[in-house]
Amino acid sequence: MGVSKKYFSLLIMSMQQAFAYRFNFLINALSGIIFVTSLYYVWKAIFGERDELNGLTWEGMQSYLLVVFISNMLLSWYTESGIARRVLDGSVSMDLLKPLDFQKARLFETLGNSIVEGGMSVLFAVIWAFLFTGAQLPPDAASGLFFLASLILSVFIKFNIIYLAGLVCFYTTSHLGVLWARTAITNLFSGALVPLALFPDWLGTMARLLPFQGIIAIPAAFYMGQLDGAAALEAIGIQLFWVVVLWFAGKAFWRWSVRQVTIHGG
Amino acid sequence: MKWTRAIYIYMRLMTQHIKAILEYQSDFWIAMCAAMMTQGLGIIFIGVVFSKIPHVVGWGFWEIAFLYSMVFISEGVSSFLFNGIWNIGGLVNRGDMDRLIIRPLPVVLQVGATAFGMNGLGNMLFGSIFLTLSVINADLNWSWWQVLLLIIFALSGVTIRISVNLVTNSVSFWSQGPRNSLPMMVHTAADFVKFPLTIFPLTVQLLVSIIVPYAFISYYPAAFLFGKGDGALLGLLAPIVALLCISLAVAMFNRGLKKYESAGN
Repeated sequence: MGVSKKYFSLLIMSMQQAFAYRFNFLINALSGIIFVTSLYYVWKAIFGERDELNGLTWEGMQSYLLVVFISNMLLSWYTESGIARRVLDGSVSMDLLKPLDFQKARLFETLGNSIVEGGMSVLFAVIWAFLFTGAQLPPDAASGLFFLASLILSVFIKFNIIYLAGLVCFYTTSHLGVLWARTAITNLFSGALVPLALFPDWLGTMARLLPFQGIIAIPAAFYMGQLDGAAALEAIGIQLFWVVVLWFAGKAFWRWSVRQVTIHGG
Repeated sequence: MKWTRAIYIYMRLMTQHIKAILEYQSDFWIAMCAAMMTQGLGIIFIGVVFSKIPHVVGWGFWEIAFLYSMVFISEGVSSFLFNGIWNIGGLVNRGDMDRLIIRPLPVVLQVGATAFGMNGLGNMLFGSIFLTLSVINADLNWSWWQVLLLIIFALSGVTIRISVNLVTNSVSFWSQGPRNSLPMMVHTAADFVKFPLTIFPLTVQLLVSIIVPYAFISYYPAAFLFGKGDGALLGLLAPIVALLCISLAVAMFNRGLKKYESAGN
């Protein structure tokens, strides 16, 4: 009980922090809106010249973009750079002294942020969907529930990836490059830019072997009611698999990196 | 002070940064690869789109790649040479601007020289490679004056990018907060000009043509070179827009500097 309480209070603290820095959230939201808006019009132009593309219609694409938006909003740039900043400015050395597991502590902070930001982003998403009315709700309740479950798992996957990228900063003096590359890889392979169904075969195979599909492609497939029965369970299974694997990868990487830090002394 | 002397000192300051960064070799390679990967994946995105469809509103793959490259190059040069602009907020907040003001060198240049963006080198490299490829592959007969224009357009783009960064970061003189998220947000607005402007609604078009004139980095020059109807002639305005932007930006920076009062006691 005592142990989980420690982490839970971190969660509450980061929620309060998210509320305190509302302006940052707003700016973040605007950046997210710019990203999705530019995609929206690119796809609109593409679908303006044809009715469907590989079985995808403009209506379907709009729902897809809604999922991209929600998922991107759940973990903000601010949360993300927070982990990297800890490593870079050396406050990680204070974390080493605390009787907390670094990874778990960061996870709970991230979750706290995600709850607040997630709540607010749903609000944004509703407004957004209202403005561009093409987006539709999931076709049935089961798809909707699976979508929510899969969205929650996607937060864990994304956290793990961000955590790993943050630890890379033990080896660099600036985090922007690493974070930009992380964002670019995630955006492409998660299907945020182009649905995986449109990928050429070799790239599609690659995307399906990587963890990023669990961030957008899988939740989006649930949202659009494309998965049921065994396929649904398999998709959730893939997400769970990556949550566990990446978590332990993060643990191993952390242990290795901390040893490096000790070598350099200080 | 003569401006040639100022540039000479600027280059000397940057060289020191490069030496310092080369001390951390892994950092150097991570930043380079990260930048190249970021841009490479951007190109893969349009590659995937164009593998399914030949044209988007009359623009082919290499023409869009041209837009991308112009954005990359402007981004690359501005972060390679003038990354220090992003430090204005910190310099004002901590009162470190004091140190720069008392030196006999234009403060704008000194601020620019406070940092050096390693990833800019990757962007420049990648942007140039793709610019060359798209110029070769785009269906055009290039003559000397077009090549000359292309160079002028690229320089204008870089200038516009630097000016916008300078303006958004100079806001810190007035807001004085430790963190200023405005520059990052305006920075992302460059996403819009990686595509033909005509696909966007009028508000977005006006936004990136007038308020944040990113469209003069890529779209208008491209429209002019490729002869794409709408706004093609506006491309010729790019150098003028660039000059206007930089003088406004420097003026705003100097205004801010007048308002600057050191931190603490």
